[in-house]
Amino acid sequence: MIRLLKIELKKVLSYKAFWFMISFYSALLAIMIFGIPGLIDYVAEKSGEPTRFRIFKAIVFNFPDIWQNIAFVASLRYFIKIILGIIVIILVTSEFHFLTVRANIINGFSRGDFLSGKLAMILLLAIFSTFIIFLSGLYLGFTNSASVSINHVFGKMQYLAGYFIEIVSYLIFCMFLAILFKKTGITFIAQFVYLIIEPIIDYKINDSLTPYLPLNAMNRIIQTPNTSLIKVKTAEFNFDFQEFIAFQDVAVCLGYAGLFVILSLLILRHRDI
Amino acid sequence: MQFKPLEKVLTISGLDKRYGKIHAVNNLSLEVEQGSVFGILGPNGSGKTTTLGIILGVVNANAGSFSWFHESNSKQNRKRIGAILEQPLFYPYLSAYRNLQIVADIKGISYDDIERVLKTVELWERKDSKFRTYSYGMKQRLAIASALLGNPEVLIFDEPTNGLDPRGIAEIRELIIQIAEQGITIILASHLLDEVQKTCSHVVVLNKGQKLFEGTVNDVLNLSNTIELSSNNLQILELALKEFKNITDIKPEKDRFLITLAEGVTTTDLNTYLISKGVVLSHLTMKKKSLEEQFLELLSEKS
Repeated sequence: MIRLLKIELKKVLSYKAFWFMISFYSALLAIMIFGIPGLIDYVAEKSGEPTRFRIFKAIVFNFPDIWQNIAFVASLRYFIKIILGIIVIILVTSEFHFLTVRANIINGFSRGDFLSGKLAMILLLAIFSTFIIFLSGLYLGFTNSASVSINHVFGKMQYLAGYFIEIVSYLIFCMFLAILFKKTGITFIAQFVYLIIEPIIDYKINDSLTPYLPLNAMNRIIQTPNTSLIKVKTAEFNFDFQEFIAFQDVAVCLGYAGLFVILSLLILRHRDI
Repeated sequence: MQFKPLEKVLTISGLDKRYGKIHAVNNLSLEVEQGSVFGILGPNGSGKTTTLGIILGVVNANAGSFSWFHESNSKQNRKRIGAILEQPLFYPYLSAYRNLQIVADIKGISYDDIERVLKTVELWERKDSKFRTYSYGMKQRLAIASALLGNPEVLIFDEPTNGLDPRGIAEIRELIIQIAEQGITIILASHLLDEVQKTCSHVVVLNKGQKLFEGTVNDVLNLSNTIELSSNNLQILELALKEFKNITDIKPEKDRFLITLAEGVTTTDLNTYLISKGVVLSHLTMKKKSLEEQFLELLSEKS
């Protein structure tokens, strides 16, 4: 796997589209991480009711809730996660476009090697993204938390692990689409169409099946943000926020990841490259 | 001269591949011996590239099997083969050197050989240019360099002189002959007959996915040798020739005869016979057909 990862990294070494997307993802995150607290302060001053906004800021960015909140935002299905998906799609479809997948196989890759190389890149991207979110969480937490005791700082860190599983599964789903459709444009369209269709299917089917739709299953690991204050319930506001990661949600999500890997391998094996 | 029985490098049996209605490869069987230069001839669309695609693991056959080095197909076998298939396939945004590093990584060999192969195809000066910036001829030469990397036991060249200028074509032919002299097995697919005639020892002729002929290049050229002969007395010569049973065809021309000998009969046999009849020849030449004439004949016979 390490050998395959080294080969994959050599492939993207001077691939401008790849580095552009990575920079774009990092820049967007940085703008959010450094920009949003400032934006809240700005709005707070203008609003004439600065205390409300300051409380909001203090509870959202507070250790340890920051981990659940930042993981929730980073894994939103219509948000920055899509950029990572696009990177994976480009990495796979470019090999079909340039027919380099054929060259790889002629030179001595098995079809499984090709797939494993892409999985290695997915793991690396997921680690990279989780690490960036970890650093962002630390920054936001330390600049906004009242308490920075070890217990608070590292509490709820399991949500980062949850994010990692989510993003790996989602990227495997993107890889599967890219292998299925081969063409970059068609794969993008397929992904966006599916992002729109799944909520419609969700709406039509029985509620008990909702958790088992692929993207739903991935998003269920971190369903909601959480803070210590919004546990207060009133007659108008009666909602249970997620308190822990459910084993069953992780299992369904990983089940889908495994299924998409197997389907990808079957497609690669049965197709002329 | 080799006296020990020749090792089979590649054995193909009953290979079959259909693309919808098109029968690209039709029950093809053949064997390639170690150290031979094996030409696969055929017009465009005769199944040459599909066959090579199958034995290189990128195309799945519908039926039949093949084995490299007496083993079943595996990626380990492909690492012992250097190949170019159809067109040069590289990462356009990477330099030639980096592209060959990837090839070396996949094959599991060191980078030490990259310099040699790039110098062989005269691309060493341009090793740091991106593949995208290469002309077609340079791309094709890089593909040849990539195939040569790590001194593989078998080389597969699919239309290797495609897109090269006349000098490049001559150089590549020279290179193929040099490689063959080192005892490396070469499988060469081409529709350029001249190329095969100049470089190959064995040849298989394909048409519409079927094997029309298999043998040595000399076998093909000797398939029907025409002999041109003449004498001071054409009437006596004609009478003598008509009596000789080992002639399959006689064509009189202005001052000579074109005859075809039956299989196994040599010009010595003919000459001995004519001398016994008291016929003195003033002219006797074997007219070898070019591979091209022979090839066209083979194609027209079978279709």
